[in-house]
Amino acid sequence: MLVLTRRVGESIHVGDDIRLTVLSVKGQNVKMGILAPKSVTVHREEVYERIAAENRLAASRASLKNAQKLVNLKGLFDAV
Amino acid sequence: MLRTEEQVEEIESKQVIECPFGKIDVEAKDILFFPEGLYGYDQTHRYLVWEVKEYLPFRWLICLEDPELIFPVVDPRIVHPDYNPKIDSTEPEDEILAIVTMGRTVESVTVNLRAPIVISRGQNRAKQVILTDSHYPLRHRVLKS
Repeated sequence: MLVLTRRVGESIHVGDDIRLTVLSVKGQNVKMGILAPKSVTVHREEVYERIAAENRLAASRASLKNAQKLVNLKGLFDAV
Repeated sequence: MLRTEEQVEEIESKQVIECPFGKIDVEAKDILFFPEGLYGYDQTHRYLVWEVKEYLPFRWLICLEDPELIFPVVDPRIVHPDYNPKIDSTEPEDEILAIVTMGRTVESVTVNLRAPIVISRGQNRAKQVILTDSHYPLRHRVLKS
């Protein structure tokens, strides 16, 4: 991991298209601004982790054996 | 084992994968490329949406690089008719799918409406998008009490 120290108002460039700026610091909280193209996704780590964990859970439970539940469920939608 | 010219041609134009549903002939036009993979699976990029009549409207997202990796998926509007997420996307969306998480019981099967998969069929590309308007849940129960 590259470690850099910045002051409020200072920035870091990642590649040519991404810029992180320290906007303010209040106690333990650091407010950061991120300038990046729309094609680059930016998320808080815990949000990323939550989605990744749910994907892993979905994959671990995806089995032909379990799939029978989907057959039972689909009866719900036949009327739609 | 020597292959005939015909067999070689066949192998080169299509890919045959062995997945939990058996052998599947994969045609290039059906392959979806996920530039960033899926969250938690950023090393795999090529997937296929596979239909098995028995499970419709639920379909299966199968990873071509690891065919044992499968996810049940569904058009989220089937389980949530008013599903209308604001997707900040640079590419035209043709289709949206949501990943289904099975549970121990039919009642506990949920659908991830917070991070849908957006597919651009014309370009054979797709990505998983995390919605920033968080009122759509990560675990939307298919069966409501």
